[in-house]
Amino acid sequence: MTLQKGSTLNLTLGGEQLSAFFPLLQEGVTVPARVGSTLADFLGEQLLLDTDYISSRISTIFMNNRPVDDIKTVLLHEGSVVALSGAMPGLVGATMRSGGYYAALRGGITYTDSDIDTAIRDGIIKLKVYNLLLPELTAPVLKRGVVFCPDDLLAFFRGQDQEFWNGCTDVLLNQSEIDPAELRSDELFNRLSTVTIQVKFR
Amino acid sequence: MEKIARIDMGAQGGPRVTFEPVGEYAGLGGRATTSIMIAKEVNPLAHALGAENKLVIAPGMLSGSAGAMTGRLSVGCKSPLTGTIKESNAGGQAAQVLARIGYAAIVLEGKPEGDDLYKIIVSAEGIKVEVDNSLKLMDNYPLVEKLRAQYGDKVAYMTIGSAGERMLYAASIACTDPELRPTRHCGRGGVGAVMGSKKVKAIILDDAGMKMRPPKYPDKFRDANRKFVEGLRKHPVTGEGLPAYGTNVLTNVINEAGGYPTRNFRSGTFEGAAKLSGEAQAELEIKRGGTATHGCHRGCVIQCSGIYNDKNGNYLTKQPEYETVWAHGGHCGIDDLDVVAELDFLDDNIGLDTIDMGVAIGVAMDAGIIKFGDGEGAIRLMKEEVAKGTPLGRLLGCGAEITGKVLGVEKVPVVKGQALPAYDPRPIQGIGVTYATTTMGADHTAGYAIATNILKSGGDVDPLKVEGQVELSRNLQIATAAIDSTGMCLFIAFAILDQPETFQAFLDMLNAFYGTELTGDSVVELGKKVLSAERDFNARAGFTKYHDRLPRFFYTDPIAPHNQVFSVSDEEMDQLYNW
Ligand code: SF4
Repeated sequence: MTLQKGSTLNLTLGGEQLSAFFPLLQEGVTVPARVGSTLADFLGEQLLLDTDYISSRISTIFMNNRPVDDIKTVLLHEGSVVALSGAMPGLVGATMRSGGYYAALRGGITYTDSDIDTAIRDGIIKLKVYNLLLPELTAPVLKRGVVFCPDDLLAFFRGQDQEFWNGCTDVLLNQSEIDPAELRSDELFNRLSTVTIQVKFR
Repeated sequence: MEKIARIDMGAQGGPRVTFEPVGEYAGLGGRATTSIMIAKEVNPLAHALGAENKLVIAPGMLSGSAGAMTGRLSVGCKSPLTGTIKESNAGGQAAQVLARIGYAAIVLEGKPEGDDLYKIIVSAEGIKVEVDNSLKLMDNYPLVEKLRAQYGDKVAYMTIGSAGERMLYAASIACTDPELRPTRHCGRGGVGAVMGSKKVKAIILDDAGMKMRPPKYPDKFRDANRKFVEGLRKHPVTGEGLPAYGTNVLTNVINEAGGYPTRNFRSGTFEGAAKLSGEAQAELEIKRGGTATHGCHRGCVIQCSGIYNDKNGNYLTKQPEYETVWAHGGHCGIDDLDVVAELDFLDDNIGLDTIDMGVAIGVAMDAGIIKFGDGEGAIRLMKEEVAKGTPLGRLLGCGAEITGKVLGVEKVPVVKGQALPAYDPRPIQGIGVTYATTTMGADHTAGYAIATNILKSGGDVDPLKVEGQVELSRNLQIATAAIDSTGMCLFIAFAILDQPETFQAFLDMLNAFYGTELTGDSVVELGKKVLSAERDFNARAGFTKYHDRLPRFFYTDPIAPHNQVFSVSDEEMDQLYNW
């Protein structure tokens, strides 16, 4: 079987397999997003994170390498790079905090949105997740879907150990069940431009 | 801590020990003791490796008590690296043990003639100074092993490796951790060279028969300590982030901010940062049977450290700190944690500051001695050159500034001779203000105590205005000087920043212990007193406002990805000490 453009792969994995995705999320994954919407909307309405969670746990946020102070005023653009982190130690860690007391110390790089782009439409952004947020946000991000190019996805699957495969059940490609072993075969990924993978953790 | 011991290493007929009451140094501790004593007693124009310099070793105000986080030890002197006053502090067991034996300070004075090497044994019975030439040119790990065979495991050791004996300007003083490994270093400023100049190889601290220091009001102290610990445990940084990942959790975030100096400050992002990150490091440590959560002294409840094992699961080194991972990693274009860990071990063993050593290697790479990214080459430089004391090894071991001068490198990231730590001051300008103006040379911890919103040490400022940077840096330096004096680890600052009740518990601990009525204002006054003494020493040593500047390339060379230069004006920086 070969994958078609825009295919969707649904996996069910054991909770212990969550950490297999941490390196990917640290390096950054491509996720669908409504570009033109605010970062607050992305986190709350699209990733479905609770408002209290966002304000208490996601204390450091970057947009295109620039620290963000107010997620309600920052708009997503096609290809934006958003990075999310928990509270950081050190003066510089405190300096990077969203709206933190020490924001002045990095005043020159604080994110300011000059492009007033209000047309909301479907697009993609790159999302990075760091440190304490990895165990907390990996599941919601993967549940909603992450877009891969087939080579990267194949490399990821080939890098997983037996424990990962033991916990991997219910693999659906475009809603049809396939054997998990096929996820390591060139054949499956041969003629494809993108795959959206959605993962449910037991 | 009612007495001070002075050991005149240069006395006629051999080292002489005298004791005196704390006198005018009463009520001080840690950095307050070392800096005020050095400022008063050492001629600022003295050569740092000469007989006139002194090495003051002081536990913090609460060290030796049952209080949490109180085990930082301060060491002060005139620095051979910077020529300024220096306070360098470390964790490990030394501060707790020294305070329980009853010393507010041990002061090494003078300089012996001849080649004999000494060890000093401090116990409840008194102080013995003995010649032990069998320790010559030993490095810290084998040295501590040898001493343990004689003095056992119920003591704390302070030692210098071969770098200290050779009086290299980046030499450190090692303090043993609870497992008696020489992993905790008073690293910055060449304090190990000063100990080496006095021919003291090891200090053995034995508190047999001594009890915890009792507070004046035990119930109040216990209560305050409980609230303080609760505050640390519930805060996300001190209760979760630091225990899980250590300080290296900063790698990804600083890199994301474009403030991660890469390949000798040529870029603000490193493509290999994720491989060096605290997240990757913690995972590797756990997988190899080490740990990502470990305290550098008993009584630490944050436990930001860890144990790093090699590929075979054998102990290699303690968990390298963020600054170490950066200096030996991204700064040198190296993205291999095993290489960084080995370099960290070599620094600890030879007895060197990991920051100045890593930065010096990066500067040597810039000069073409080896290529950026050459991990094996960096290890070879340490093993074959620095450890053996070859001419190249000696210049590397004297830190980044000397390395840059000898090798003809234009861009050398130092302030007052000390290497900049792991944050680029061009995107994060407020840090640059602190690097440039601190009394110690470029020092990230100088502005670490982020509790200034509570202390309000410089009055209220609007931190969201760019002009607030100088005020903030001033307040941070004052607060840091005060916390450094208590013997508390600076990492308590996060819980204090966000939780006023934790700050109050911290004050209550001090007050219940000493029977004082300190307030936030008193803490500010202590910080100012310490900084004023340090600043005064530096002025008499010939330092002016023109030394409070970053190297020129930070003002002229923009750095990617933000393409900024450092732009805080000299006039603004000169306002820092106006209080
Ligand atoms: S938090 Fe870290 S540096 Fe501070 S005392 Fe504990 S282990 Fe040592």
